[in-house]
Amino acid sequence: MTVLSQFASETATQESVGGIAALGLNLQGFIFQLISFTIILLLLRKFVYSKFVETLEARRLAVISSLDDAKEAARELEKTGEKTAEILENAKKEANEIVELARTEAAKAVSESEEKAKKRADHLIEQAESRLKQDIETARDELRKEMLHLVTAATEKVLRQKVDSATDKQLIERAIKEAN
Amino acid sequence: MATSFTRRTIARYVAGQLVDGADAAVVMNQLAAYLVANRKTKQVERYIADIEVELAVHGVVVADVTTARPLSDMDGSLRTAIESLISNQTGGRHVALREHVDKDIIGGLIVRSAGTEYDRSIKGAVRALRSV
Repeated sequence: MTVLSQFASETATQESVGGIAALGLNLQGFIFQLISFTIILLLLRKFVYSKFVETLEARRLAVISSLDDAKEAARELEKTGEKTAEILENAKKEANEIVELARTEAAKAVSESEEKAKKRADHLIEQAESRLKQDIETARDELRKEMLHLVTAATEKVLRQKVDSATDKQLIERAIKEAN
Repeated sequence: MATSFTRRTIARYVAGQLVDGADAAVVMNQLAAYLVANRKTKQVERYIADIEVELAVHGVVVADVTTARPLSDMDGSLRTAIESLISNQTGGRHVALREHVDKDIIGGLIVRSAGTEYDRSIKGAVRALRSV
C-alpha cells in the first residue's frame, strides 16, 4: 500500500516539474551523490589507494627483484654449468692423460720386464753352456787320464814280461850315453 | 859322561879317516860307539849324509844306483860306465856306488847323488807319461 502510494506520488511530482527533472534526474540527488562520491573518492584515495598502490609497488618491486634474482641465479647457474663443464672437461682430459701415462708406464714396465727376463734367460743359457762345456772338458780330461792310465798299465805289464837282462842292459847303456 | 861333538866335526873326522885309508869297518865301529854313547842313534842318517858331504869335499862321491837286476848279473862294464858317468857329472875323483835292486822299476836305472836324481827307469817313464 505504501509502495504504491509512493510511486503514485513520485509520478505526480515528475509530471509536475520540467528541465532536468524532465530527463528523469534529480539534481539534488545528483549533486548529493556527486559530493558523496567525491568524498568517498578522497577518502579512498587518502586511506586506501595510497596503501594499495604502495603495496602494489612493493609487490612490483619485489617481483622485479625476484625476476632479477632469478635472472642472476640463471646466469650464475649457467656460469656454474659452464664451469662445471670446464671442470669436467679438464678432469676428463686429466683422467685421459693419467690413463695414457699409466698405459705408457705399463708398456714400459712390461718392456723392461721382458728385457730383464730375456737378459736373465740369456745369462742362464750362457751359464748352462759354460757349465756344460766345463763338464764336457772335465769328462774328456777324466777319459783321457783313464785311457792313459790303462795304456800305461798295459804297457807296464807288457814291458814287465818283455824286458829281460839283455834289454835292460841296453836301456842302461843308452841312458848312460844320453847322460854323457 | 861321554864327550859330545858337533855332527859336522864327527863327519869331518870320519871322512878324513876314510880318505886317509883307515879301515872302514873300524871307523864305522867308532862312529857307532859314539852314537850309542851319546844316544844319537836316531840321527844316524844325518851323520851319514854329513859324512858323504865331507867325502865329496875330498873328491869322493857316494852315489845310490837302483836297477831292476843286479849290475853284476848283466855286465861288469856297466858298473864302470856308471862310475865314470857320476864322476863326470859331479867332478869327483873317486866314486863309491851303493847298489840297490828294485824289480818295480822294470828296467833302466836311477842314480841319486849329492841331492840330485837321474831317473831313466821304465817305471819313471811310465810315471812321467801318466802325469802328462
